Amino acid sequence: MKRIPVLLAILLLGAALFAGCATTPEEEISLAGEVPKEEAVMAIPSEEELTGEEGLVDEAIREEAMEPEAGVAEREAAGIIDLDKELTMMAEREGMLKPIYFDFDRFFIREDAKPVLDAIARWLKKHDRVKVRIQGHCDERGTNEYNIALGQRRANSARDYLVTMGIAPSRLSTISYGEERPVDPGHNEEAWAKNRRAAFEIVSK
Amino acid sequence: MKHTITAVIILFLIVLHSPAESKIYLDINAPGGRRLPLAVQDLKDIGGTNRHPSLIDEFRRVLIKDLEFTGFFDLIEKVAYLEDPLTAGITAVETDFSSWRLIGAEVLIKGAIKADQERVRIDLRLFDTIKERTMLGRRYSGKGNKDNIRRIAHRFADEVIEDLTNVRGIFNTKILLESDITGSKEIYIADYDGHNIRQVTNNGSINLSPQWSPGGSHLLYTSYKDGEPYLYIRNIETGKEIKISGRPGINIGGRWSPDGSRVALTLFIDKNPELYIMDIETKKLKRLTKNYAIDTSPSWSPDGKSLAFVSDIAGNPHIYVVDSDGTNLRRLTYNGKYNASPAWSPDGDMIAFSGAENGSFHIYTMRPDGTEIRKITFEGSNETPSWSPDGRYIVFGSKRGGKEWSIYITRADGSGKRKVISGKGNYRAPSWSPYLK
Repeated sequence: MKRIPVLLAILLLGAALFAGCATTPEEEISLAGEVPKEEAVMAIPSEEELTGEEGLVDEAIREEAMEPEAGVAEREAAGIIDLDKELTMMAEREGMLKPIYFDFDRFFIREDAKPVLDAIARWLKKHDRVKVRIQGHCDERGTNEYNIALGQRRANSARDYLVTMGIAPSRLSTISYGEERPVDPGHNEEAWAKNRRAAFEIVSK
Repeated sequence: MKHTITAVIILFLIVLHSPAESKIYLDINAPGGRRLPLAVQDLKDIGGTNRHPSLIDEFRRVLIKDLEFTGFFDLIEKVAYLEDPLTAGITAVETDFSSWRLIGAEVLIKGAIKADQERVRIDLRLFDTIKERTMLGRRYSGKGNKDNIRRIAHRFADEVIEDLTNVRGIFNTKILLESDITGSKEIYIADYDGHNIRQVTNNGSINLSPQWSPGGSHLLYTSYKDGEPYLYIRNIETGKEIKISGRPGINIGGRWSPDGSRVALTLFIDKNPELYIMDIETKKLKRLTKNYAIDTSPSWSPDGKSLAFVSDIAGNPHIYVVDSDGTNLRRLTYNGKYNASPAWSPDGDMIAFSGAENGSFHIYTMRPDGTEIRKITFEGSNETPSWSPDGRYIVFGSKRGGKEWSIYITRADGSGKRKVISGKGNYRAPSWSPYLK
């Protein structure tokens, strides 16, 4: 029960950031990047706060955010804000939900990816209402059909790892985009290395 | 550019072939076969209220490009022709065959164009200059626009090739492909030579791997338009479509069986991506592969008894063949570390595929037992070969010189390469149609 307010706080902050602003997804993104520093610092619970004094943080946010809460639902319903995207961005600002990377034509979890996944697992345990969709991606080499299959295996590898860390499978869904959604459009090893990844996005469904 | 109803061309047979004339002029299977010296005279303008030099030029250009692509002919340039197209007649009796023999022409195409306000009529003949006889005569009439002129040229080229080789030409076939020019990857359709390209899907999502139904009326493809990669069948003409596979995970690599009743596809419903055959009517699945690897990109043998596909069961992607009941699995490729997108030829005698070599991919052909591997591309990176319905040509995606992906066609032996679609965006994953009505 104690954790629900934290999630609510995240939701509400997302709404507050966008109150009276954007109407298009592009604008939302750019505005989110311009969040005043104090606001962000004030609103995002630190690791200690989350584990220890959760109540304090909840109180502070609940009061000032009651009003915008109605706005969130309305705005989301109207398609003006994308709640999942906002939550994902929140988590990213906390340094969570970083992508993990893979070797060419491989889908095993590399050693350097394990601490990242461990942190994600810890974060998901704290935010136990949050559901995550894991995207599997590949670099541009090879055929897109093979790469969609490979991307699915990467997403599943990440999911299986999180499940063994105690995350309920029902909270984790997967999708493969193959080579269709590169983060780096380059055609060199540096770009390819960034594109061979599993990325994490929060979904409310 | 809608060209559906205007495409109606009325076609009359002027001269019938007698059975005695069914000699094959060009034996395309003969090794090092000789090219046939060909002359193509300009269409003679035989009236109508308006003159149409641009249509005459366009007609000749399209006809010649079609015929030259076959590699069967040596075209004799127009400057050498001794006969004046304005004065000479277009029938055999009006033709001075000795003047054509003199410049080396053994086959000759002549024709006439007649136009009124809207319509054109084109009469065409193919002559054997040695025997001094008409091999083929055709009359076409229809709307007098450029699209129709192109279509008439393609139709006559089909007839010429059928007459000379006993196998119908492919100049009225089409190509399905992917392009991202709108910013999202959509499916497009174009003539075999890249003309008349038009957008088929328009959903702003990711649309992939278009495949023709055996009859050419429908398209099978993977789309993310409902959120995840599902398989759809779409009527190309009406745009009506149904989702035929929407299982969790991936629904990719869909390929129609030659009889049109089933679809081979890759699903991830067990522990890893496996090949299945789905009955389109009942949606019943039959599992083809059972291993710890990725199995995808199936290609049916023309008799429907086997499928070539890609599997990384040996650690890297290679080409395998399995019988359609899931038995008799055998490996075809051993060279390199990445072989993919197998395509079984319409005759069943070859499999084309793309394979990696020093970081770039090339198109190869081989026998269905994995022997006689032959490389047919040498520049850039090349992928997803697809055969023309006569088995003589291959269309593929190619990326050259750091530019975007383009669509190329080639003869199956790698000669006569021609870039047919290119531009600002990427054009990929071409699929050559069957013969179309």
